[in-house]
Amino acid sequence: MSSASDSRREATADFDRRNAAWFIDKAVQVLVFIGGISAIVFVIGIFVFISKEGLGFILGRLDFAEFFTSPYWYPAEEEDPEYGILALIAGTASVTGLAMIVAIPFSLGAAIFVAEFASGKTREALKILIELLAAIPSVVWGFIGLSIMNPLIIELFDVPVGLNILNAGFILGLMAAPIMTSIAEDALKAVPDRYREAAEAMGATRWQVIHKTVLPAAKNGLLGAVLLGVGRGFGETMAVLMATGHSINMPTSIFDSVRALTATIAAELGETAVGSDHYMSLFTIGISLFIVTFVINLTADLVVRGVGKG
Amino acid sequence: MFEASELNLKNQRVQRLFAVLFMMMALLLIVPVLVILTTLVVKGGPVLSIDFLFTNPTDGMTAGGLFPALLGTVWLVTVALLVSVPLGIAAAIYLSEYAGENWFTRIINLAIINLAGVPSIVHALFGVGAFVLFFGFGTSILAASLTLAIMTLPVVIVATRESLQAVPYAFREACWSMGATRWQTIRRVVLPNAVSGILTGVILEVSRTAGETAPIMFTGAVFFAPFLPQGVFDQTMAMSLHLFVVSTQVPGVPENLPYGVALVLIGMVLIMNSVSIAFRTYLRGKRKW
Amino acid sequence: MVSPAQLASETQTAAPTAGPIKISVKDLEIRYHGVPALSGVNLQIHEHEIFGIIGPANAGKTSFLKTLNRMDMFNSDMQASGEILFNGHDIRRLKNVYALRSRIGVVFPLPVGLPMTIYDNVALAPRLRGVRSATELDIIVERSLGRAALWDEVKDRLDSLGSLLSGGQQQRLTIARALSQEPEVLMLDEFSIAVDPVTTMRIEEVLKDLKQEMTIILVTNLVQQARRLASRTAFFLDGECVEIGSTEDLFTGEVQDTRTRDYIEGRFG
Repeated sequence: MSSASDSRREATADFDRRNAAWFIDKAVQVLVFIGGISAIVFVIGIFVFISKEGLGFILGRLDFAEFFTSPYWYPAEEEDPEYGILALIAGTASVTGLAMIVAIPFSLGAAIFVAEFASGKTREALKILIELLAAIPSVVWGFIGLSIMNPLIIELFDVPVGLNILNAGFILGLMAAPIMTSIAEDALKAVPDRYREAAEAMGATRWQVIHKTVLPAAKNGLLGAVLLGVGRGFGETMAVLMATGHSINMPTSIFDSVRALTATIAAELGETAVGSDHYMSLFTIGISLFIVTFVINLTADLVVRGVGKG
Repeated sequence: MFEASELNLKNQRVQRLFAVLFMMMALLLIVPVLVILTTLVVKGGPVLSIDFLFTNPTDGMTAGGLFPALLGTVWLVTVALLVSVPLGIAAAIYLSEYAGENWFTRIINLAIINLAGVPSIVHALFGVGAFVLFFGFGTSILAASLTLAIMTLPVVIVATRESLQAVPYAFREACWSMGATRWQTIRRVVLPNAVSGILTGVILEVSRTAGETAPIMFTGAVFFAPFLPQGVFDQTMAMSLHLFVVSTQVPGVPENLPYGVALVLIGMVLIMNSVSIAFRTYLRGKRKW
Repeated sequence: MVSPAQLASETQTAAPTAGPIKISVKDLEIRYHGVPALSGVNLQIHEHEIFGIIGPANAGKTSFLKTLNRMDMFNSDMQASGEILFNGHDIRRLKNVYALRSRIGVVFPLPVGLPMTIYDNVALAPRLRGVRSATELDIIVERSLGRAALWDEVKDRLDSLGSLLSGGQQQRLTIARALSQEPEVLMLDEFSIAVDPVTTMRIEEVLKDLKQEMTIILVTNLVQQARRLASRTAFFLDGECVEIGSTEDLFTGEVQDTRTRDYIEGRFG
């Protein structure tokens, strides 16, 4: 017995050697780490490359006050181009604002219904429907705005032009709603059952349980859903390009045509010469959009985690 | 015995009211969309045919089919997948199996959320600045696909990470204590049990990539290309851009044509999503632990 | 029996049938987030003995096992200091920690059947070692399942999922996996918690046979189980190794520390 274990021990005396598996494991560790930081690299890359293309404008022609407060966007004027994006900001804001007014209450209602009232098959069916709705591409929505909403609005409201804030706001609302509903529903589901059970044990009805207990507990997540919806609205390009009409002006009614920041870039980039002031000004709008959506996303993330807000 | 009090009855009525209200709200979100989709089918249906799918557009794109656009979308999606899927899976493996709970990991997660939230036109600007100009690819399938890949990377990462994390930790511990390295454990136990979730994420990514317009507009997709693409440095047409073109850029288009294009595009997207959802439901029934 | 202090000076009376020293532990301290969970552990484990470790919950027994096969590597909150020698190698300074783990088999309290066929469960360790031939694998699988007292029950369904077996079967499957490593040391951490008494008895018989080929460390909350199986036993309490001695001595009352007698006699649990 002892000689067998002696030789065993000898064989194992130098067991501590690095083999192929050890080296492969280390190599994989490096590869996945590269994958991990790729997201950071790309975000930084986006900021760097866009700034690079817009740098000339920012350092040269850009006048901060004019850029953000002037409603006169005439970048293609030969004589005296003007680069004020206030009207464009108003365009984005008005369309997004209307979209939120439409989407928020309905998303919240739908989320409450799916999370708290529906059950089994209905719930599954609704969730699938909502998921499919969220998948409809933006250009299809833009087409819907052009071909279906346009004539509809002209007829219903007796206005000359159907490509306006109402059109884009409505479809943007329908676009943002499914995502907001999903996130809101997640937030409601995340509230532990014991909150509901405790309230029900005291004799409250479903609705009382919801509005007194579940909603306050989920408010961070719900706020996050709203913020993400706003971010989506801000960043939407094709749908607003096709449905808002083409006039750049400060809107006074929802039947006015406007132009959004994103749509401006999409509409004009193809006509600019690389390196020209106009070209660079569009990249500058791009940076502004990047920064705004970055802040919105950061805030949404912090809010959902409960940092900062109560 | 217990009789429902006045207050109880009132509460029940209020409750029913709200239940109905919320149900209406859910319906009001869905019904308009269903109506819109029906209109698309009704108006676009007549245009559809095998010819429509497989022939080229004619007469300045006022007639004919959309084959080059369809092919172009296939090219773009394929190249984008080739880049984003390996990268996304690697990133997800890092996040799920290696990363600790520290600020660095939080920054990575924040970066992923931001990548997903950046406006599509901003991705286009990035694509122009980085791939078209800086790296010198010119407007090409390569530049457009890379732009799309970066844009849809978050979808793959999140789906993969979730399916990796669904594998119980105890399985990993059992393997490690036998002397398996991290990679051996991932390769033999974790990944194989996460493949289905990853597949679901990939299908989702395909459907999103196929529908995007802005990121490809200035990086490689064109309104009209006289020849079919032969390689990644060629320009191409694409389904999503084609819809934009025939509905806004081409004069004299017969009313039904754009509806047909829209129908094909939305059909592609919805079919892929449905496949992904069906696959997911099927998998939920096949439990392995 | 010997007190820890005497052990530190390396004089030790070992049980008669034990071989040379397999594992030697000196001044081991384990901390979680800086808070000590186990300290001042000095002991030696001999080849071919069943070394028992008894003590109430949270005494540090599981943490101790984790340091022996370097599973503490995966928990960044856990720090260990001191010297642990395995076959004379300092395990805190290994070049290839996976090689160490392949020589030590572990059985956890909760049974784990990996989500692959029973055959693949048991063939996993040999495959990792580089064994490719199907016939060789067949032999190893049958032998391991046989020694784990599971072969008869599963021999006709080796391609069914290991993760869907019953608890007692999964625990024996875990043992089969550990045995397929052909380990030098087998560590069992409260293996009978989630397992029925009949299976426990069968496994105990298995362990008695196994000790002729390997060294066994048995952590158990069943004091009588230690008495049945272990030749020497250590008593851990509140992060301290209170006492080590031959099992007979401990159980017949010749203890160094009254706390040991109190625990063994069930005065606290």
